[in-house]
Amino acid sequence: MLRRLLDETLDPGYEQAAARRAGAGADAAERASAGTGLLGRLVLAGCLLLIGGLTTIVITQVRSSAPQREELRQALIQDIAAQRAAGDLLQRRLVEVRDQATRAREELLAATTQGQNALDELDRAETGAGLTTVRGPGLAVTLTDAPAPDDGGENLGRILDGDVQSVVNALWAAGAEAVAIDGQRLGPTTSIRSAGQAILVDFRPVTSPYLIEAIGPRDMFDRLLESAAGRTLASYASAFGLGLDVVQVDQLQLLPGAGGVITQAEPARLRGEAEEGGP
Amino acid sequence: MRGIRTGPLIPILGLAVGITAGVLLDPTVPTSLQPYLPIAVVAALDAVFGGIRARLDDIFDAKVFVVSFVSNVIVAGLIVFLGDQLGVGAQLSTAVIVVLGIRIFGNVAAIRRHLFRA
Repeated sequence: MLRRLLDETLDPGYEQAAARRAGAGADAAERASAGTGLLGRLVLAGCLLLIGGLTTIVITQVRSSAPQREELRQALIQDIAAQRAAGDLLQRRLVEVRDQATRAREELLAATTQGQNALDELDRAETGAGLTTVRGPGLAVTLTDAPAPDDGGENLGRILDGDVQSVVNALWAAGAEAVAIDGQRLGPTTSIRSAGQAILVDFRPVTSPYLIEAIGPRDMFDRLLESAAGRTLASYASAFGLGLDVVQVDQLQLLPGAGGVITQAEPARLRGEAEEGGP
Repeated sequence: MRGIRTGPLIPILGLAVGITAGVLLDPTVPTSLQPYLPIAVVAALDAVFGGIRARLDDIFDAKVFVVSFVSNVIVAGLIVFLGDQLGVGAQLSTAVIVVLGIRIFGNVAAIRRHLFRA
C-alpha cells in the first residue's frame, strides 16, 4: 500500500480518461475533450478561483489570529486591573464604614462598666483578627528572588510560599502583634500559598520583592534572626543568592485587613454576666 | 491534443481573481468550519499539482481535474470531521496531511523532471 502511495502520485483518473479518448477514436475524442473547450476552461477557472480564494483566506486567518490572541490577553489584563481597582475601592469603603460602626459602638458602650468590659474584649479580638489599624515600632523584612541563572536553568533562589509562611510564623512566634505582606494585613484565616509562579496572599497575587512588615516588641529582631526560619533563610541567602533584608523601623502603621467571612458565631458571655450565673 | 496547451490564460486569471478577492474581501470564516479549511487547502493543492503534472504528461482532462478537486476537498473535510467525532481529529488530520503531502511531493518531482529533464 505504501509503495502504491509513493509511486502513484497522479490521480489514475487522468490516465483512464486519456485511455478512453485514445480508444474511442477521433470523433469521440472531440466529444470527450469537450471539457477542455471554453466551458471546460471556465469551470477550471472557477475551481482555481476557489482554490486561490481559499488559500488566501486561510493564510490571512492564521496570520490575524495571533494578534487577536494578544488583544484578548491585553483585554483580560485590563479586566483584571479594573476589577482589582474596584476591589480596592470597596475595601477602603469597608474600612471606612467599619470605622464609623466602631466609633458609634464605642460611644454607646463606653457609658457603662459592662459596656467598657465588652469593648476591651472586642478590642483584643479585633486586633487579633487584624481588623484595626496598628501603629508602633516593628520590623520590615524584604525577601527578594535571586536573579535568574544565566544558563536558563531552574532558579533555586526563587522565594516560595513556604519561605514567606515561615517568616510570618517566626514573626508571630517572636511576639508580633500585626503582620502585613506587601501592605496586605494578615488575619487569622489568611492563606499564603503559591499558584504556578505567583504567591497568593488571600488569593491576591504578590510579587518579588516581598515586603513583610510586623509590629511587635523591640527584641523581635533578634528573636527572628535566631529562629529556625531566620537561620534557614540566611543559609539560603548565602547558598542561592536570594535577598533577605531585615530592618528595624521606629514607626510602622498597618491598615486593617478585609477580615475573614464569619462562618460561626455565638452569643458572647461577658465577664460581668458570667459571675451572675451563666446561661 | 495540442489545443489543450493553448489558452491557460483563463484558469490563471481565475486564480489571480481568487487570490485578489481573498485579500480584498477578507471574509470571516464561521468558527465551526475553521478546523477544516487548512485541510481543504492542502487537498486543493494536491489536485492543482496533479492537474499541472497531467497537463505536462499531455493527459490533462478538465472533468477529471474538477472531480478530483471537489472530491479531494470534500473527502478530506469528511475525514477530519469524522475524526473529530471519534476524538482522533488531530491524528487523522496528520494522516491526511501526510498522504496529501507525499502526493504533492511526487507530483512536484514529476513536474520538475518534465521542466528540467532532470
